[in-house]
Amino acid sequence: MVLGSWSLPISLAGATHTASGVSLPLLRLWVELAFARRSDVPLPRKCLLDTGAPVCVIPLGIHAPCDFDWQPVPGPWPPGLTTWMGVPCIVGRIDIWIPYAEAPFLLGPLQVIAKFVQATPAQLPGNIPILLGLNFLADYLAQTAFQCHTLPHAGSIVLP
Amino acid sequence: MHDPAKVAVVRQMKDDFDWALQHHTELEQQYPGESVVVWHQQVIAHGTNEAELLDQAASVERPREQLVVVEFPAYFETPR
Repeated sequence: MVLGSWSLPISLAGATHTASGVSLPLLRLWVELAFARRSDVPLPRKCLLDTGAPVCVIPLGIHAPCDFDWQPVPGPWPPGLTTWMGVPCIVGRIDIWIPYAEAPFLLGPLQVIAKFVQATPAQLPGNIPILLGLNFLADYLAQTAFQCHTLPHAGSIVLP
Repeated sequence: MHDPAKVAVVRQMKDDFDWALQHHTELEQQYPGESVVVWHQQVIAHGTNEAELLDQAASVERPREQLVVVEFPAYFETPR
């Protein structure tokens, strides 16, 4: 933890596949956050740091069964923000916390805007995690640095 | 959050979550493309439908709201 700022570790996970003498690293960057729920304490989830996602995405298969406590943000929004993978979404806001090593083990809350997906796309490859998009980094003026060659500590997101 | 009971729940869930992340590589090899439910640093259910997993894993001793889920999604490139 940097004095006066919050630091979120970025973890690197995956494996290297080797075929025909070629090594192909299959890696992902993960960030741990806890999400507000209506029924209980915030729920810790690992989120895929997706630098190709302009906006965070929270799949129906996560926010519905886990009873996430989110509120719609009134539009109008352009069509690209009200769909994901061909299914409808609602642009919403949710409180999140940063897990921390000491009591009360959570720092926050912060707020994040995300697409809350309202159906399960037919062509998805199984369970899709929460996608942490660039809007989160932009909203909090975050400084982000990571490397993709040494597991598991890839870098950090520093929120000033 | 200053309620000691809630802080205790957060701590238990954090411990389970940290355990899953510490064993990420082994769990990803064991459950590729699936999600796992972790309770007291053990995998107690696995599958691809989170709602069904939580229903299956929850009990009186294991409140649904205190179960930690960690996913190991199949490799994909998110389409735009």
